[in-house]
Amino acid sequence: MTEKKYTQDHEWIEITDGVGKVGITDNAQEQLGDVVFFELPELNKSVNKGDQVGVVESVKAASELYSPVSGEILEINEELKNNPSMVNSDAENSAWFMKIKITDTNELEDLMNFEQYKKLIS
Amino acid sequence: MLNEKKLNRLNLENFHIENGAKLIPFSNYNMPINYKNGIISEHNNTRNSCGLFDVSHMLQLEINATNDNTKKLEKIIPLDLNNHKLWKSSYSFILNNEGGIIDDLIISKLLNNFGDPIYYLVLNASRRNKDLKVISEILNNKKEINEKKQCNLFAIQGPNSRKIISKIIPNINKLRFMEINNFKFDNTNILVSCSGYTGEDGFEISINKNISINLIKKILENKEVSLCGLGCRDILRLEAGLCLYGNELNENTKPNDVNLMWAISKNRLKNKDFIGAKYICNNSNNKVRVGLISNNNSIPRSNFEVFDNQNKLIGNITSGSFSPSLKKPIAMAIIEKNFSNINTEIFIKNRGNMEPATVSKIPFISHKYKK
Repeated sequence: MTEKKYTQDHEWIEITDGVGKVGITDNAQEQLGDVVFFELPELNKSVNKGDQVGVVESVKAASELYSPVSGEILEINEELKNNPSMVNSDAENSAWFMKIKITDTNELEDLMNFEQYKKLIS
Repeated sequence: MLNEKKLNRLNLENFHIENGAKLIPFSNYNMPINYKNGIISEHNNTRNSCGLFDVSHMLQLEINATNDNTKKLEKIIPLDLNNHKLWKSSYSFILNNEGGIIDDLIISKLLNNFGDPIYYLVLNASRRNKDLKVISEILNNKKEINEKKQCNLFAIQGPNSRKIISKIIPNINKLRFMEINNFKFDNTNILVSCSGYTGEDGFEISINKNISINLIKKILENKEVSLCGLGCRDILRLEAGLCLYGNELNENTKPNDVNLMWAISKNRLKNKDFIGAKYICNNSNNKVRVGLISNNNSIPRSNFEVFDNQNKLIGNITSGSFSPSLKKPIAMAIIEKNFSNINTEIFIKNRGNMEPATVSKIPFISHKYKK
């Protein structure tokens, strides 16, 4: 069973069997414009909810990437290093930036569902 | 958002929105930063073909070129305005008492419809109030200044701009870089200069608001033209090594701090007869404007600090972006002269990391002006 949630920092997390796949939202990529650089999270690192784990830069601005939950970073999307602009075409699918093993699933309850996020950005 | 009501709006704002513009507040104007295809696409199209920019936020002034006004303007603008050729444009600035730059500008001398010589000035929107104050104070007469509020200003830039605009405006092909003249469109006088701020061949067109949409539509009939916003304009001018007020230039920066001494007329420099001259001509400054190419992928932004390899602070980034032409992050910085040789290795502090960069020649992209 897969569940997708959204954060105030304009990230999405798709949870499958206690592992979250994390990316920036389509709205975020639209606001950033042409993305040219990702500083990706550190592999195997343990992070707390809200920790800064990386940076995304567009020609216009730099924006921090945060971990939406506490956990251990299992995987990062190396493809974003060579092809950062893929986030402009596929932000909420192939352009995820990390997979994280979630330590406390209760933290997910603070996050928004799609309807709530849509309201936030409208 | 609260200030949105107070923002000035381009008279073609709805047209820009219909064409996918994303608008942001800039210098009290609601301005297109980019259109649907994004900044990089607009940049590439300008470098490879043709980009069209609505820069009507800029301040356009006309001042009668009487002897009296010329003498007064020469006090604050360090050009030989008296001997300035008709139908020519020059880049320069308005200076303060300490030689700091109040604004940078393009000033042209031309004849108006009555055959009288006038100066036509294009100045930064962000400096509008200050410029008007300083100029009217020096002229001691507000009536000598005519703001061209009835006119839009468009820039058409890139290697195909000459070909495209020649089809629409007869005789324009004769215009060479930094020349200006009156032309006709829809049986109405328009003022066109061969200039822009991208490093490309191109034109700036001052045209009455009543007919400007006709011109824009006519230009956009050429499918290779893309509408471009301020985002791509900023990258184009950075690649071309051109200064932006508020970034490289401010009231505490003198022309000699930013390698702009060429924009002061030689005889004015010799006679030192403009305000602030003694601060500009003494050659005591230790600062210089350089280009930097980052050896990393992260982008240097304005105000980031620049260090030598001993961790000593040597200056600051004034502008930085990703260069779609070089496919690398580039920047301009004002740093100590000792470190300004091409290929000097320096470090930019970016989010706490010291990132290596190399001093590079500017412009990053060679100018393509038609001279």
